Amino acid sequence: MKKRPLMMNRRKTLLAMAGALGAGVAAPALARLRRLDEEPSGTSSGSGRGTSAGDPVEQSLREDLARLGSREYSEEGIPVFLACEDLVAVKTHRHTPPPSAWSQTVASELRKNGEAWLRIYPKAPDTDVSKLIEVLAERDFSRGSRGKT
Amino acid sequence: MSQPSTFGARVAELEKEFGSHPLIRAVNFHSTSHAQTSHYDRQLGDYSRAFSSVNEDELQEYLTTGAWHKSKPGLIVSVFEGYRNSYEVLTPLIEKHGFVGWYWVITGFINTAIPDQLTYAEHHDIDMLTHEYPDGRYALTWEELRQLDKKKHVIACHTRSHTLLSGLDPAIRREEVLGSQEQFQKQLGHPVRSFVSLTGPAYGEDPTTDRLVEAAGFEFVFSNFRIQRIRAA
Repeated sequence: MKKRPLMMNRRKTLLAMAGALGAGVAAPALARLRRLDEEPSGTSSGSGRGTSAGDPVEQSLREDLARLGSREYSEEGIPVFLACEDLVAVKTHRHTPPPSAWSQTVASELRKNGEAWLRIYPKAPDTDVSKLIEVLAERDFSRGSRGKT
Repeated sequence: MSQPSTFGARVAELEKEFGSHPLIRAVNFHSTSHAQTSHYDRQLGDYSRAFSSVNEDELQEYLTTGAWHKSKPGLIVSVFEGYRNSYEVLTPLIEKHGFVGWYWVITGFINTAIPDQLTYAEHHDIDMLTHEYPDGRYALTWEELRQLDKKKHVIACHTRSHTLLSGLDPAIRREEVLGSQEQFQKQLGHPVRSFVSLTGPAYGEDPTTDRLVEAAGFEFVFSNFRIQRIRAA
């Protein structure tokens, strides 16, 4: 199978803005993934001033990013989370379902890992969020049904 | 929800979104080449041990009640664009592992003459990494979509030509949303219930698109990490 160079086309840029629509990856994130692949495990990415070398959240992020860095996004199934909103109920002032404990766990993981991401990549663009969600969803999917919907 | 301009702001916004609504898992496929068949088989097989299928009625119930009545959590298997290999490669595996496929179809791709499909794909952000069909047909056919529909997979709208809706001429934007729905009505014999456009926007972010989505009768709008139920079935 022919592999594309690690370079963004327009579609991937657009997809990076829309994790729900394809969970693509932004160019800066891809560039960093390559660097992570090339670095010895546990070293700084070079852009990561202020990183905490022993921080387990950062370490897990680095490992997951290195593992996911070789993905071919146009031919792989990419996991994501989707928040469910019932606007019909909102409009009619009816009860809307509360979040589950699992939803709140995912939200908490997003915050913790988002903070770690910024320690590693202080200038991360907002489009990197798609990659972060992908990492968290990969972990969740691999744990299987522990977090019941 | 507007799009914050920094990573930290976007994370904070999504943290709030995820922490205040029920979540559901989804996996997004695009082109699924024959060469990757065993990989998809393993992936869906792994998922089937942990997750169960979701159709639109089940999604509606989950969205309105937050309750999930299957023993395993739900997983939406999204299949984007309308590739021929979605039907030939992925669909048998989706069925083998007990899932429902959500086929997000670009109607303009389906309607393009076979000799022009590769060119159409190149000009409409439809990735075609693997050129595996010597006969040149890379899109699903309406007959294949009718078969999927008959087998209770979800057929859903991904606009007419896979373009950003914001800023489009009103008549063109109408064709992208309403015109696409009219195609489903004509070809499947019924309208489809779910809509997603390229990169969103979510319902509420673009009033012009909102009016078209409402007029087309869509019930669910999928966007960046969100599903919104905008009307009763």
